[in-house]
Formats: sequence, structure tokens, C-alpha cells
Amino acid sequence: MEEKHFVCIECPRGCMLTATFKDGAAQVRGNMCPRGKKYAEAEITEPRRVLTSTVRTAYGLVPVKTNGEIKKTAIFDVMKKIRAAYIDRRLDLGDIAIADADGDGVDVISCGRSSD
Amino acid sequence: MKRDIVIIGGGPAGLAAAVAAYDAGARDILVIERESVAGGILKQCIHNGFGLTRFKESMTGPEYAHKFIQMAQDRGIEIMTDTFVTSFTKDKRVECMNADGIFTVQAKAIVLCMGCRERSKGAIDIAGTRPAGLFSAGTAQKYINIEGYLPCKRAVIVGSGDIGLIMARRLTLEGAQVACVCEIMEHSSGLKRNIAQCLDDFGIPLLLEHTVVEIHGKERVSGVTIAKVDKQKRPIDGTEKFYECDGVLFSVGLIPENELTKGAGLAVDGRTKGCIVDGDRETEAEGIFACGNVLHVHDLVDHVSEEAERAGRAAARYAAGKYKSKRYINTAAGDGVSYVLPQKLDADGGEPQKLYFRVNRALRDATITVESGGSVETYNRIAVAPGEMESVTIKPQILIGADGVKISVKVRGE
Repeated sequence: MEEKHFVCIECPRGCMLTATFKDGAAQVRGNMCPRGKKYAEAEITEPRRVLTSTVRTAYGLVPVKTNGEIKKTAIFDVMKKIRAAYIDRRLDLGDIAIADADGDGVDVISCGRSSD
Repeated sequence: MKRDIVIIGGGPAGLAAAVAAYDAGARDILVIERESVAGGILKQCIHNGFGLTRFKESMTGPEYAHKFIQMAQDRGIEIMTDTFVTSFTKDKRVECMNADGIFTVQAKAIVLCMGCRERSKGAIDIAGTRPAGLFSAGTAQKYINIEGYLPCKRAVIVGSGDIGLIMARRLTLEGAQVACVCEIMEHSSGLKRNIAQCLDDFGIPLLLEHTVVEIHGKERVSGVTIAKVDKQKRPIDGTEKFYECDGVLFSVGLIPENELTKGAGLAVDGRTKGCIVDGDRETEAEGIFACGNVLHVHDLVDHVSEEAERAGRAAARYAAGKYKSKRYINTAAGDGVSYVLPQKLDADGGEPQKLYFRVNRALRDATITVESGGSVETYNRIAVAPGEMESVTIKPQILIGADGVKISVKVRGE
């Protein structure tokens, strides 16, 4: 029986997860909450992450994040877009900086405010 | 100038203390912040994972800070930025300096929220040259996330604290290479999730029980020599390996910034490097409170907010004259525990008390024992680690007749 081990990244507790495969289905152990089960299942099928960075604007550097998880394999593609971007307007909290950054409908949104 | 409550520092602790003091009835509150924007270190912590405990959502540092800045603004709390506190006294005179000059604020209560700073390269002895390219991890974080400069193209990170781990990922995302993270201890002091999502995700090696023995380079750092260490943390001959790099980031611990506190003649605990406080986070000086990283270094901002609110509410009570004298009993760190905070409790306080503590070694299946007078209470934990602050909440009844409270930790059943 195949086993896979993960450290859950959903919260600072960092549960040690074990996924066991039986008849094609994964059994998850070691999770203290439902998010851990979900995390391990995603790690097996398609790992996803929230990406955070900064984007240049005409009013200074602004922190940004993807407003949802993107595929782990898309991280560097999205970073490339973030690094190339230059936003010619003020960004407020929650404003979209780059729409559909991963091609799957996840936007890169502002986590801060442009300075004056 | 006279103010009811002066809060020194406008980071997460200062903002939460101010909001809580307001909500407890205080109105004449002044937050003094040395930078031009409130929010403290959260401004440069652009990664996510903040607020999970408190808000049940994963926020970035700037978003978490914004929540509290907004709460302070909604209440009309004054935040005086670009203003430096040069000293304060036990009778609560706060000396300040800004572009308008030097002035004194007489407070009824003070809350110390000055945060902490990084231990520098100088604090750990490393041989070799002193070229450009050596940064504390937090300085590199500020260069990248606030100033927009990439400080190096190939980095070695010394120390595996959370900031070092976070920076390993951040440098990688911005196109730099991270040769390795080296850690002198057997365990990383960072959170397990950060090792997973910052190192493992990007294939960055973590070298445990390794340390930098020499820094190379003349104008600019050109590399470091890393060696394995023995149980006494001495480099083992023959294990040296050269790593080429143009930047070295040090993530080797945080120290509460207590110069003002010492200047006021307040004692600092040798273990926490912060003031000695009671459950209200009141220091030995009446009406002066301390909270957040200036009191002891926290892993989670959620805990900072919680602690600061406790201090803020108590400061509001004190400033309003609604304060009764306290009868103290001490808390103590027993086997397996490095410190307990608060260091003393009001035996007649009548409220549940949350005791924070750190264990001194990693254990699985741990039992926490709280002894107070004749009562012994136990709590089980799946795992405990020095890098992850623990807490227990004790009932006020167990303090009755007790002369102290002792917390110890051991493996279950031992």
C-alpha cells in the first residue's frame, strides 16, 4: 500500500498528514481539521498555492496576492506577469491589479493602498 | 501635552492596544509611531497566513495591519507618525522628538509596544571578511517588498527562523537563486509549514547542524564556507564546503527592543528579554504596561493582538482610576519549559488566566502539567516545539491559597 506524507500548510499548527491509497481512493490521517484532509487530497491530485508578491504602480510598490489558489505549476508564469506589470493608477485594498493572471480565472488583487 | 494613554509604537501591538483601550472607555489616546505609516513590521510581511486564529481567514501582513489601522481610524484615535520617543520615566513622562521639535507628553498610563529587532551577524561569531552583501533577513525583506530592490542574485541563508524561510521563497520568486539555508541546531526554529511551503516547494536544501565558518569576498561577498557541527556546535574538520553567493541573509533570532524600558529603570527578564509583567501585562511600574514583541517574541501576530488588547483594556481602567491593588503570586517554568508569561498573577483577579510558555525541546505526545497549590491540572498536546508558543488557560479557583503556579512538560506517560 502506497503512503505519502505531507506537512499541512493551512495553519501554523502544521499537522503531519499521511495519505494512504486503497482502491484508488486516498485515506488521510493526521489532520486535526477538515482543511487538512482537503489539503492532502489536493497535494496528491493537483497542488495549489496562494501567491503573494508586489506590483509596481505609478504611485509606488503595492503588495498583491492571488485572490484564490493557483496551480503550483503556474506560480512562475504568474510571477512573470506580476514582475512585468506596471499599473498606471492608484490601487486600493481589493482592487484587481492583473485580471485572470493564471488563465483559470484567478485575479491578482491589491493587499494595500498606493501611497500618495 | 497631557494625554490619558500614550502608546509607544504603532505596529500590531500598539494598534490593538489603542483600539481595545478605546472600547474599554478611554478616549484621550495617543499612539506614537516613528515611521511615517502605522502597521509596523506587517507592512513588509507581504506573505499570507496572518489572522487564521483570530479572523479564521488567511490574510497578508498589510491586510492584517489595515484591519487594525481602519479600526483605529474609525474610532478617531490619534496616531502621531514620524515621531520618535527618546525616553520615558516611571512617572509617565514621555519625551518625544519629531520635525516640529522636542516635546514632553505627560501620560496617566503608558503601553509599551516597541516590538523587536533582529539579531545581527555581529551577534553570532563568524570569521572572514566584511564585504557588502550581508543582510539581516528582515532588511532584505524591506529592500524587496517596500523599496523594490533585489539585494542579491544568489543567496545563502543563515538560520532557519521564519523570516529566513519566508525570504528563501521570496528571493526565489523574484528570480534569485537560494543555494541553501543552514541551521546550527538539529531542528529549524521556523514553523513546519514554512519549511514545507517555502523550502520544499522550491527544492531549497535545509542543512541542519551546519554553520557558516567563513565569509569570503573583498568588495562584495563571493561565497561562504559551511561546515557540519558536532553536538557541542563546534565545526567538524573536513566537512567544510564552499558555496558561491553574492548575498548572505541572517535569520538568527529576534530581540525585544527595550532600550527605552531599561532607560526608565525597569528590569528586563533574562529569558524573555522583556519586562516582568502580571496578567494585565502591567510592568513593575504602576500604570505602565507592555505587550507584543517588546514583551516576548511571538510567532503569531494573532497572539500579539490578543495580548495587546488585554494590556489596552487594563491601561484604560488604570487611566480612569478604576484600579485596585493586586496580590501577586509568581509563575514558574518547570521541567521542559524555558519561560512562562506572565511572570506573576493577581491571586485575587477572579478571571481565567491564559499562560503563554515555550518548551525547551521538541516532544511528541506531550503532557503539560500545571501545578498550583494543591491542584494539579494536565493538558495533552500531539506535539510541542520550541518554535511554537504554547498556552493554557487556568481557572481562577486554582489560584486560591496557592503560593505559585508551575508549568512543566514531559512525554505522556513518563
